[in-house]
Formats: sequence, structure tokens, C-alpha cells
Amino acid sequence: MSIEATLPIGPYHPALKEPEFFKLFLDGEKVVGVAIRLGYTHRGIEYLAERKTYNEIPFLVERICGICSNVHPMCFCQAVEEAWGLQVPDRARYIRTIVGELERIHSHLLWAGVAAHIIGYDTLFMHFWRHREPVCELFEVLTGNRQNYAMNCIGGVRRDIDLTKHKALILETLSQIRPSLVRLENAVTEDPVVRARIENIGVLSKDQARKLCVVGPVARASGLAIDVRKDEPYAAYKEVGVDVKVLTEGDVLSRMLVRLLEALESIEIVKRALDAIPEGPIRVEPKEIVPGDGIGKVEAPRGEDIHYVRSNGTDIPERVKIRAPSYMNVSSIVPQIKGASLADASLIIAAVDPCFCCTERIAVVDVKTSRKSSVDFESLAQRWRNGSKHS
Amino acid sequence: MKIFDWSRRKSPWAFHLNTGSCNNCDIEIVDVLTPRFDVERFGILLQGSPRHADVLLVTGPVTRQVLPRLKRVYEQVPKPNVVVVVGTCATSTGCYEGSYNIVGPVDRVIPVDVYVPGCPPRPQAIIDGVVAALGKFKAERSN
Amino acid sequence: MKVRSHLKTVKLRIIAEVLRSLASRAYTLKYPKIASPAPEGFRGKLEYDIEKCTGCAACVQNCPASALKSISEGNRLTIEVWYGKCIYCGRCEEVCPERAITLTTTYSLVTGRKEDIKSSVQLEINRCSRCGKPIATAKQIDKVRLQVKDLILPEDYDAYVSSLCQDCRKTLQAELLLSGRI
Repeated sequence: MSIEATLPIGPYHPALKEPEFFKLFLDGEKVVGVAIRLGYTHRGIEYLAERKTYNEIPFLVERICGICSNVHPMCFCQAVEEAWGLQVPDRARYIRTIVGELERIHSHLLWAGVAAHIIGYDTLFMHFWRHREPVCELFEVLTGNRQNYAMNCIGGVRRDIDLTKHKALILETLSQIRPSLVRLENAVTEDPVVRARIENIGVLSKDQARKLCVVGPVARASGLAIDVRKDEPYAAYKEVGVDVKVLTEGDVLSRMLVRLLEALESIEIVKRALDAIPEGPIRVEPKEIVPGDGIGKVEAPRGEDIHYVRSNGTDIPERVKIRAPSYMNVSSIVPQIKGASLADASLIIAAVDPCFCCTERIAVVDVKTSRKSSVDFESLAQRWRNGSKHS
Repeated sequence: MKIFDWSRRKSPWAFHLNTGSCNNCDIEIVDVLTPRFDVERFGILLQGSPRHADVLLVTGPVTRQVLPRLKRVYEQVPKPNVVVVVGTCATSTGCYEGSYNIVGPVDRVIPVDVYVPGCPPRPQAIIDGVVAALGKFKAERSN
Repeated sequence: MKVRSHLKTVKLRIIAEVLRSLASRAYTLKYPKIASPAPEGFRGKLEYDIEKCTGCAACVQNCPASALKSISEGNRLTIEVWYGKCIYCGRCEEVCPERAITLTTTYSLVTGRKEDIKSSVQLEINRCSRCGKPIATAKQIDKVRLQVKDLILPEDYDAYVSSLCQDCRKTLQAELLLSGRI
């Protein structure tokens, strides 16, 4: 393997919306290796969260990422509710489900547009974003902002969905976009130009996917049927039910199809939740801050998001740990891109739907010994068995 | 020359720079190009290189790793140009104040002409911001 | 895997979609030629109702972005909001006990100087007649006078409660006890 050239993609590149750095090692037109460097959007969220009160943190974690902006506050609130033993009212759980699924629709359409733009198909990009727009305007009416919904709070949700006014609006918006989504899904699968550009690119086999612990649509497109909404239901998913879409090819086309099918499934979930939503209060005030730990797990549009909160009885948490889904998926770029041609490199990077602002974490390096602190799986499992109370 | 000023105002090309934001403002900036708001009617195109730009759209509180790149990109944008800062984080670091990795709002690093606060600002507000920035081209000329 | 074979309808799908959009009404919003107001319930620029605000500064303490500041100088308390730091979350509106804050639907706050987008309310502070320390705002004192009118005579409230700070009140009480007047 002779490395003849290196090509940097980033930090600022026309195809990428966020700063990140990929150094491709090339042998002619073929990519033989990649070095990933992140850290451009590291803002120290965990550090800031350990200096703010519990009521302020949902607004801080909402701004970890703009597209996952319902997922992070919901996950944090679930972690705190578990730590304090709070029971969220039923109506709040259904509202959380509805907002989460609407966010999934808008996120998948956004990604599909960006992927279409990267393969040079601007018509499809404009159409996907045009059909995403009614969902954003719906959010503006329901929650007060197009992107940062600020709906979740510890103990429930902050705003109610007025069924007399809003139910008809939600159903009308969904019935407007559903036929267009079906047509665009067909446009993707039947168009020979699109198929030629995205089929059999960036293949990730089931074994590779399992070893790299990928999550979300990337895993479901490679044959792994994992979905937190089905495996460990939260919010109202147990009552409403989810049909998990799994394909086996593991290439970019499968990922695109999985996402579009999930968007269509989300439309059905919202309709079922709206029909079944019970009356009742939308939030419960926490009476006491209980010391202990809590873990919240939510299926973000990109995969499984985990938040860990340790409370020590004061109004500021002792430790907040966030594991975003893109953290697992970004490392899967490496085996996919080896052997691919240079023209496909930016598509392969974009196909895992990376959200680098969610992914920024730090590694602690001892400067004197230049050793990094890391923990292997067995010791981590042992620590968990011995350590914290996890109800 | 008058014809250059006129063409700069009538068809400003923009370059978008993310200095560590959460992406909301960036999505709204790209949204401004899509069919609902369609700023291509005003001749605004998003370019891939800072050398082709008249308007620099900056988002995000500036992180340490981005700081030298921000300065370098600003130097590469040809003069005259306008810098439009989009979002609360870029105006004043927003809720990230006090973090060890945030150097500060954008105007601590490069001179800024127009601020568009909001979290994220509505696309209509971003259009207002770009229109206000174009007014600066005219003002500079008449001075 | 759903595989569609390459049929005669090759490429017509997207062309059909394009023709459909051409035939329907233009989706573009002709802003700024036509106004585009935000819907009701939009979280925009916050405004204070000076009649209702009592200067308790609950908003200042609960803002996640520290966009609100309370500054006391002389006999004035100023509560100031900087719209360039505000994240438009609505937390201040939620915690205000007097419902004096509303988030309006104004969304366009474009400016050339970020110091210009500030807004403030000013309230008068009552100071202790003995030591001069600030007690509370005049409005808070008036509000409490109404709430305790069944428990204490207004003249006693004015003489012993509303014009003295906590420490001086205790000192006065001790003096009265020692002198045998109570």
C-alpha cells in the first residue's frame, strides 16, 4: 500500500455544515486510510452543566445540537426523574412522544436533502427541504420556535397541546406531507442516477456494525434490529407501539431508505398518539431532591442517546455525562471509506448522519507520561456491579 | 466604481462559517436558500470559498480550536466585505459563558457589521440582517 | 430489501414532482415585500409590564443565559435585559410571580451595535431610616402592606416594618423590651 497523497476535507468545506477534519490517505483515486480530528465544536457542556441548577440545564443541553434539540432535554429530564423517583403524568408522556416523532420526521428529511445535495442532485435537495418546511412551521405554532422547542422540563412538559386547535393542524400538515414523502421515496429508489451514485457505496456488514457498536439507522440498515423505543420503551411508546424498519445491505441506499421509511412510520405514530392522548396534568412539581443516579435513554434520529446524572441532594448536579449517538457512528466511517474512491468520500462521511456538535468529548492525557486514561469493558462492568445505585 | 457597488448590492455572494455552534443557526441559514424563503431571488448564493464572497455569515461562539481558522478565513475574504453575525451565541456567547473552551463572541476576533440575535433567529430575521448589511455597502460608498 | 426494477417509468418520478410544483401555487414567501408575522405563542422579545413588576428579581436568578441583571444604585433598582444574550426560552415568564413578563412575537432584532438592544425597568428602593441599607422596592413593600392588613395596623407597619431593615428591626425590638415599653 503506497500512500501517494493526503487530502484534507475540512475544517471548512462546501459540503459540510460543521467544522471537522478528515485527512484522507490516497493511493491514486482510492482511499486507503483516514484520520479523524474533531474538537472544533467542543463547548464544555458537561463542565457548564455541573455549574447550573437543575431547572436551567434542559435549556443548556437543548443547545448541544440543533437537530437533536428535543432529544437531549428529554433524555436529561428522564435521567433526573429516575434519580429522584418522579412519576411523569400520562399526558406529558404522550406529548413528549408526539414532539419526538415530529422531530424525527424533520431530521430525516433534512439529512435526505443534504445527502441529495452532496451527490449533486439539487432538485431533490430543494424538494426534501420544501416538504420539511410545514413541519417547522407546525413546531412554531405548537412550541414557540422552529428549532429549539423548550418543551421538556423536569416532571413533564411546559406547554400543552390544545386538541381543539392543534390536533386538526397537526393532522392537516401530516396529510399534506405524506403523499409527497411517498413520491420522493419512490423517486429515490427508481431513479437510475440516484441508484448509481449511492448503491453499494460505504458498505458496512452486520459483523462490522456489531463490533463497532453502531446505533440508529446505520445499524438498522446493516441488519441489526436495535431501537430503544422497542427494546426499552420510554415516554408513551409502550402504548403507542413502533414498527422498526430493518434492511440488510448496509450501503448508503439502505440507510436512506431506512430513514425515509422511519419518517413515514413517525407520521403513523403521531396519529396514533393523538388519538390516544389522555386528559390530565402536564407536569408534576418535584418535592424533594433525592441523592442518587439516573440514566436516561432515548432514540434520537441518529441513534441511542444516553444521559447519566448523579445527584447529591443539592440543587446542582454532581456529574452529568452525555453519550451522543454520533460518537459510536463516526468511528464506523473508517472501515467504510477504506477502498472507496475519492469521489464517494464526502458521501460516505455524510451517510452516517454525523452530528459533530453532539459528539464533542475530551480525552484526558497525562502530559508527563503521555498516557491516556481509558477503561476496558470488563473493569467498566465490574465498576457498575459494585458501584452506584441504579434502580 | 459605481457599477461594482451596484452589482455587490444587487447580488452579494455569501460564505458561511461555523465557529462551533449547535447548528440551529446554520440550518436556518441553509433554510433561507430553500423554496420557502428563496434568497436567490435577491441574487444571494452560498459559495464554497471565502475568496468568492462579499458577505461573511458567522455563527457560533468561537472555540479555541477554531480561533486561528476564523482569523485566516476573514483575511481571505476580499475587501470590501460585510460580516453578519447570526445568533445569540455569536453575539455574546449566550448560555456557554464561563466555559473553558470558548474564546468569546465573534466581535472579539474580527470586526462585525451586523448582529442578528435569536436562538435561532427566524429566517425572516436573517434576511433582514443581510439587507441591513447591504445597506452598509451603500453607506461606505457615500462616505 | 425493496428492489424496484428499472421500468419504463425511469426518471419520470422526479420530473413528475417538478411539474407538479410548477403547476401549483408558488411556495415562496415574498418576504420582505409582504409582512410575515410570527404566530401567537412565539417566543420572541421579552417585555416588562412596569405596572406589575415589583423588582423581586426572580427572573434574574432563573435565567439560564444570565441575560438579565439587577443593578442597585442610590434609590433606584434597575432590572436590565440584553437581547443579545437572551436565548428566548421563556423561563423568566414562567417564574415571574406577578406575571409581569411576556414574550412578544417580535423576532427581528437586527442591529449594528449590540449594546443598543437592551431594555430596562427602574424601581424605587426603600432604604432603612436608621442605617441606610436597602430593604426592598417600594412596590414590594406596598404589596406586603395589603397582604398583612388584617394582622397589623397600617401605621404600625409603616413605623416598624417598612422603614426598617431586618437588623434594625431586631435592635429596635430589643430596645423597646429593655426600656419596658413592651
